[in-house]
Amino acid sequence: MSATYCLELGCEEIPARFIEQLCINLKLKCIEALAKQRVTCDVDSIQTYATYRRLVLCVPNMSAKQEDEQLLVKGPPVAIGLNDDGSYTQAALGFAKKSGISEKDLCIKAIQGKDHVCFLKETLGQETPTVLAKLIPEIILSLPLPINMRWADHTTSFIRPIHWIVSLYGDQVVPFDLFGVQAGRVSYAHRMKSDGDSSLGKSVHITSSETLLSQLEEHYVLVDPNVRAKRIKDALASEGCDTYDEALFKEVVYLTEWPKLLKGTFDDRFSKGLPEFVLIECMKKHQRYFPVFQKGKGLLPCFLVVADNVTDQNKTTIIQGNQRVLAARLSDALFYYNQDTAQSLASFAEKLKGVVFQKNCGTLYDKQARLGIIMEFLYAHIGLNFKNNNDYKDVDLKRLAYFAKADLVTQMVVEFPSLQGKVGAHYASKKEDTFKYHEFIQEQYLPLGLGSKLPELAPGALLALADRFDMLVYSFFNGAKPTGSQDPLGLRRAVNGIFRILNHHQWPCDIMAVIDQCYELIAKGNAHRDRLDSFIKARFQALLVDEGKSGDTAYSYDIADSVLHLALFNVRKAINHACHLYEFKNDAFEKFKLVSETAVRVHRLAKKGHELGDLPQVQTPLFEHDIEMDLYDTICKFNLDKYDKDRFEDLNKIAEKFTRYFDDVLVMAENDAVKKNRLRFLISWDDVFLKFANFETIVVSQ
Amino acid sequence: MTKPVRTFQDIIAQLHAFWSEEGCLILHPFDVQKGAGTMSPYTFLKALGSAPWRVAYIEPSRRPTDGRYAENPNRLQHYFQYQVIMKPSPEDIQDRYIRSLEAIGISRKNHDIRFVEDNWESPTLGAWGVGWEVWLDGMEVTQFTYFQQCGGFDCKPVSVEITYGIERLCMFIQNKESVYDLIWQQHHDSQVTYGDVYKQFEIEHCHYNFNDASEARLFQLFEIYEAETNHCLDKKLAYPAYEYCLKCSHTFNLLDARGVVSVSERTAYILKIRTLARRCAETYLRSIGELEPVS
Repeated sequence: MSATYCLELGCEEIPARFIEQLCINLKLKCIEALAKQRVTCDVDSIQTYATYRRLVLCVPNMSAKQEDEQLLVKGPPVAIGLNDDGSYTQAALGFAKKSGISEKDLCIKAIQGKDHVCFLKETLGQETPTVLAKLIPEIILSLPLPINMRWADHTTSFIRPIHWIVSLYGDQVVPFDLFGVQAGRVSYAHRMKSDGDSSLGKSVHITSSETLLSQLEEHYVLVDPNVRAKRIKDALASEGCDTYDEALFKEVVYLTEWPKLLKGTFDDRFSKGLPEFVLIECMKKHQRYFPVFQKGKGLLPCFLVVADNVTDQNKTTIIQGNQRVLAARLSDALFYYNQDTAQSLASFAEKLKGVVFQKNCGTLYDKQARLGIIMEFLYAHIGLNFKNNNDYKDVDLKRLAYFAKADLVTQMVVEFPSLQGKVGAHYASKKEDTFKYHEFIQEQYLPLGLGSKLPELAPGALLALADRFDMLVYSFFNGAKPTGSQDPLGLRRAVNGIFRILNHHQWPCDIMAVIDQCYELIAKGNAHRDRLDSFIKARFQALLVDEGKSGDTAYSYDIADSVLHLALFNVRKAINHACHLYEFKNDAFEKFKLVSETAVRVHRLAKKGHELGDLPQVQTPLFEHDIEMDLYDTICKFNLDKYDKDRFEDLNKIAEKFTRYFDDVLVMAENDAVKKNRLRFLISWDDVFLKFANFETIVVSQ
Repeated sequence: MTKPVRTFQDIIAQLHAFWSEEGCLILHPFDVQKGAGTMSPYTFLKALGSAPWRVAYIEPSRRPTDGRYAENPNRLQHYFQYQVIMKPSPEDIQDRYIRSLEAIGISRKNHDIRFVEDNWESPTLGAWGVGWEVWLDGMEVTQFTYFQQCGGFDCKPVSVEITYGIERLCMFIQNKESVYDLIWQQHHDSQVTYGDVYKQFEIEHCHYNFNDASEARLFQLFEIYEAETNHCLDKKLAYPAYEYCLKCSHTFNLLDARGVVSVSERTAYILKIRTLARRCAETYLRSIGELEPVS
């Protein structure tokens, strides 16, 4: 006999953004706990469901009883436990007494090949409900909570106050007590739609664990989020809304128990008076409305709202209410927009003089000036040339920097901070003299996160880089200490952005030279420079590893590490090297092994050379072996600028020569001049190998 | 006779009657300028300590930066909050709240009422809680918070705070597009609107807040109020200290609206006020015997 167990935790409104993770954890904790309990169940079919007011767990096919358990309890080894005549010693009898058993229960069993005095401890399985009554409250209290709270005079905390608990094994209540609530079979239906005595909703006596979902559905609760999602999706589709914001959609699924889509409209004057992105922001961000687009017509003057308590009687009232709220928000936005656009972008840029920004780093106006200088530095350093580019030839980078942050003091961005960049771009596009900058201003905040778009336009990318470099330097200068996984200042994100932009544009860039430049602009010393350098290196290392995991060529972490020093000068080149190295290792392991061993050997000797300080240039007359001259000719002809994956074949040929070299040549010769000459020679070769990778970090095995 | 309308003052009276029935004291506005009903000592100090406390009151609230010269129909630098505090938080508080809406004519059956996550934090008060904003057909009408900490001290037991934006609610009920058109009172054929009482007040305060407040004197005032707070605290007088702490907070808000506080100074000022508020909370807890006195 087996049955389904079902748990429903009835809570006050749980934040939508946490519900999915709570369900995942509930399931995991349940599987974890059951595994230790000798209760068989259909683990693969364990299900969770949730709405904003309830978390539900269903465990199908649970056996009625725990399995009985036989456990061999180990006592003393026979040498100590048995007398010569085979009778038990005092030690063995003491073991029996301590374990609460009699002598006749003792036996001899081999444990790990050695005989011991033992006994077989038998535990009879308990009834499953008895096990669950103890287990379930433990599972609930062990749930990791993203935010927890206390309420009334309870000392323990949960995500939100709990009001009821349904706990059924088949049709039998599995009782327990939690937060002063007695688990039973009473659930509550939809707050408003069901006819309850209070706004807890109508009370529903759940007959059995199998009927919870269907009984609640009779009272306007769709417990299964997939069912709600489908309803909402279908309703959106029938209104012509096929593409929508996934995050918003998910949130709405968890903001409802009985979703119903309603359509409202807004006045034409808002569509005419406000840019689309502002209209969309007002609808989505504050109101959780879906905007409606029509092919060829763009954004329509209407919105879709998913309400939870819709009846034929109140439908019109709810639509009107929502329309009024949106109209109020849009008229606010229009008010700010009209005020803002009565001024030029330059007038906002000037206002930045009054905005003190970060201590020791002046005003936002000063920051803009720095951005201009950093951009020009990057432009020259990367070796860009806009002169022959029709799109960029008139771009004045200092001028671009001057407008870059102007929107931060517009009323629109003060009101809608997430629109920074977009607002500046839009305002710039409205005036002829700033028009050419608008796309670059918009791109400066890209990438916004993982998988986000990158700045495609070179000036936009330069601005994005400059902004991030400047931000990193002043943050560290002022003592920022990134720790753990938290990133409140966005320092990690900034380095990630730099890495991805440089990779995307295939720009060479000496990171440390840029940092030097940024420090110089703050002009108050080099505070915390070491910490910043190691932070950047650690991030680049992690990003190279990520790139290996996600790229087409899945190179391993050690190969990622071997090109880190290259990435600090050229991100794309480093990634290419890593890929080629990985292929070389896979396709021609023996060759790779030889190259790697040679490079490591050369590297270690080169280190010895470095320890001797500045060595004189290589002098060929000091060579004593043919192979020395041979390798000397090779390095003179070696063209480092030419690079493709076939170069590893060249390296292999060189490594073969080195095999002979190390056979014939004693590097650490007794003659000091000869020794130094050889070390100097190997330093040159080390430099060549390092241009490919730092082979020392690579694990040489297949 | 015009059609009877639920006036602004009706709504306040009906909320008073409702919460009085629920066992709340009905108190009156506290006579120091403040940013929100939470800052009244009836909330900030009374949420501390173990003694039960149930109160409802209306509180004028000042947000100098929110002023719009009465040109924006929804935004004011001076408005009213209707505030309810219950300690410990009753199990059925959400239901009580929904019934309070019915007391002012908003039936749960006729509207889409939702509790949407919104956690509350006041950096100046060192206070935070978790809860929701309540949506009424998409309009945010109430802030609902379970206090977790106040002045840096854990709230034990936990108080629940309900803050109604009564102008919003009244606009909803009276179906008005502008706060200034709200009918405050109706007597036979004569009406007094919110605008009659507060429009000129708003405009003049906006001029003052944004343009005419004397920067130098306000900076001086801040220092004086800060010193007086500390003076009272040294004398172990929590209530008078807290009043001066509120004056600091309002003076800072004025300076902020005037645009003379830089971003980094801003953080420093907030920290100063938080330190004062924390000391007030500490002094209060000592004076009611729930913290060891300083020897």
